[in-house]
Amino acid sequence: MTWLFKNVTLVDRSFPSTSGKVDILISEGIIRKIGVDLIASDAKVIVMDDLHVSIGWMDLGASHGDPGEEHRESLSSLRATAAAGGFTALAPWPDTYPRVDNKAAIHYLTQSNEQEAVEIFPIASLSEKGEGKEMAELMDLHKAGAIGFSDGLKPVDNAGLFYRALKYMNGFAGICIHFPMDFNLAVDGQIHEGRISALLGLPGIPDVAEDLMIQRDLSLLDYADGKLLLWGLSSKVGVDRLQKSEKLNQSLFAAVPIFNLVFSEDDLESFDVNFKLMPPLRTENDKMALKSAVLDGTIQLISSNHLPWESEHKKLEFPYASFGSISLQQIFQMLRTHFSELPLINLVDILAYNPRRIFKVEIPVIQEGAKANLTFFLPNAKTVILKNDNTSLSENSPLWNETMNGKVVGVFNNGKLVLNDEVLYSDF
Amino acid sequence: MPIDKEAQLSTKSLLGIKDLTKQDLRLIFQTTEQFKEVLNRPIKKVPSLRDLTIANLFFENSTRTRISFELAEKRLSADVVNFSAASSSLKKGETLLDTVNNILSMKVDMVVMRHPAPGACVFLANHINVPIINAGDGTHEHPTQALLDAFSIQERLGDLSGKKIAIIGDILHSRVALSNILCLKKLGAEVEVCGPPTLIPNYISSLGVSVSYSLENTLKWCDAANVLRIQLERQNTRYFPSLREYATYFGVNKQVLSKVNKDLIILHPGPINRGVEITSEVADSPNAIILDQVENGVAVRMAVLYLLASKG
Repeated sequence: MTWLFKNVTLVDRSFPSTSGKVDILISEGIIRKIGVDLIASDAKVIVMDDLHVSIGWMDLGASHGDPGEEHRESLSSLRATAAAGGFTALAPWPDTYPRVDNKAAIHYLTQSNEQEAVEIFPIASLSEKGEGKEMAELMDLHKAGAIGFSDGLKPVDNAGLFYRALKYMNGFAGICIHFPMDFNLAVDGQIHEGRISALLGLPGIPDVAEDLMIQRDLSLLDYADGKLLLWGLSSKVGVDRLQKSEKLNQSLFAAVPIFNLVFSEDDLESFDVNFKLMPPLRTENDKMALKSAVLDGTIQLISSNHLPWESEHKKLEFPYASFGSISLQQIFQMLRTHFSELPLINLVDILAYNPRRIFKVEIPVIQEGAKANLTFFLPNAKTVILKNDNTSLSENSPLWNETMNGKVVGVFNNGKLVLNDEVLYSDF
Repeated sequence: MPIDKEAQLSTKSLLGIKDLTKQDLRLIFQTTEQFKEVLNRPIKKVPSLRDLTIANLFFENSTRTRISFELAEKRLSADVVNFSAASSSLKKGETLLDTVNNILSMKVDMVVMRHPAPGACVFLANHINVPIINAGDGTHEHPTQALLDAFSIQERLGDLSGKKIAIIGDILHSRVALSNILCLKKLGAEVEVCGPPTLIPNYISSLGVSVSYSLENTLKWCDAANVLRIQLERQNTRYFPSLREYATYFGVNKQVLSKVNKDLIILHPGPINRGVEITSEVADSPNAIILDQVENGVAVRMAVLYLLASKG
């Protein structure tokens, strides 16, 4: 199959922003030609106003339920959701049933990568069975294809285990991904401890619970000399703490969940369970600090924190509802609507280059002869977020019926074009 | 009933004081006064809610609030059904929504609910159509308690604008405290919370109250003191070393009142831990209006039921 994308704006650091619009000809999954006024008689032609392209995006930190809870999110629905959101690569959490703590589980996740537009790069469990007591077989998991190690949304309380894991991973330059939160300071915590928790009478999760764990992690990073990605930054104190570390951007990296970047505790005033998130939404001040940290490079990654739940887990009294919302399909729209000060080129750095650079995953390139691994988007179009367009198996989202800026057109990878709207192309 | 038929509450349900306007509060208090007069007649029953069926759903233990609501409903001639479950419906395997929808299928017109989860009434209001009265939802709100407290203080002190009201004790685990703060502030009163620091929520001052750790100073400052119950049943952790130490430093007793040396009004939402947060001498003294609160509770709840029903 041959495709010709007409008048496309490239968002890529290897092309100067003044280079104007180009045509891209792709056949058999390879970029054959980049130029102006290209013609190919056998190609399907895609022409859209304001069409932009970058290398395919990669997400860290989506949850799914395959195997074990496929009704929440199966691998195929996760892939469909990622593609609809503009992602061609995923590094999901290991907390499935059974868990990703053995190489068979790694193979299960990666076995169809070459046939799919969305490839999975597994994060493996840091501890055996995710119990936070002993290390999983980290070397074996690394050899099998795990790109990082984490207990996901469950912080590693045991400092000894955390230290040993960090140190052990030096043997193969592995990276530990840790959610810094000391839940001893947030017993029964439901939302950020602040004005809204006082007003709603809900037990709070203070920002010091994050800061304290970051301090421990940074001390142990110095001691073990490993490589660490702190996932789930949610507070200004956390950002301030990171900025003091000399290891930042060397062996220390940070990721902020998308929701924490665009919403705040103020959105919880009416007990909306879809804003019940972990890490919790904090104050406007925290949100602004996180945005600044993304802009100045203190934070290198924006994570989906995509957490699908069936309605039985969400349609409940607030304290009984599970934490989390789906987000993978709307990250681009959330950024374009609520973080428009982030330039497109930086957005692509954060969504596409940085995760691959940090996890040492091969970075796709846009050049003639290279494999096409691309995301197509309209940065200035409007999208109405409709349940009808939802590709996830779960519906726990606070965004339904919102009109948002930005639209993802589709992705191209491994010879497959996945378009959000099938009527967009035609034979010319 | 000589009640202004035109006046209406701004809300369909009473989920919390935070949803009410100052006009709403005035309307509720005016209506309460009229029902209080009814309650002092030889025949205490009026036909206002005849043909209406009200379900009292208590997912948490209650004696006085449940009886107070039931009496208020019966004195308005409503038909009443009661549902009590010591634990939450979730733990029994049925969701709250299923439980309530089952009861509503039997043609119930209004729901009064107490529930251990903060926000449970807000949640219910998002999914069902009948008016809901919050009879206490976890550590969130207990609006009718705040209304009857404010009404009882007003009976003694008049207009609450500029009056100084203290709330003393376990603020952290108290829905009464939160509703009282919101109600008293809307009525123009100054509010101070007092207790051991671990029982005062961080950020409580964002609600516009002052914070004190000295019982004596607070009692010297205030015109009325609402002494809260120590909610031992809601404490998974020890927030203070012992009941003896609490009673010594935060218990309202004759000795500390004699140091204050002024005619304070003392309230308590009940049930009292005698000898812990308040001594019997004080609870049974003329300054204490604890039984007035209970009496006014029925009238306040009649007013709320009547006003919400008249909206439907």
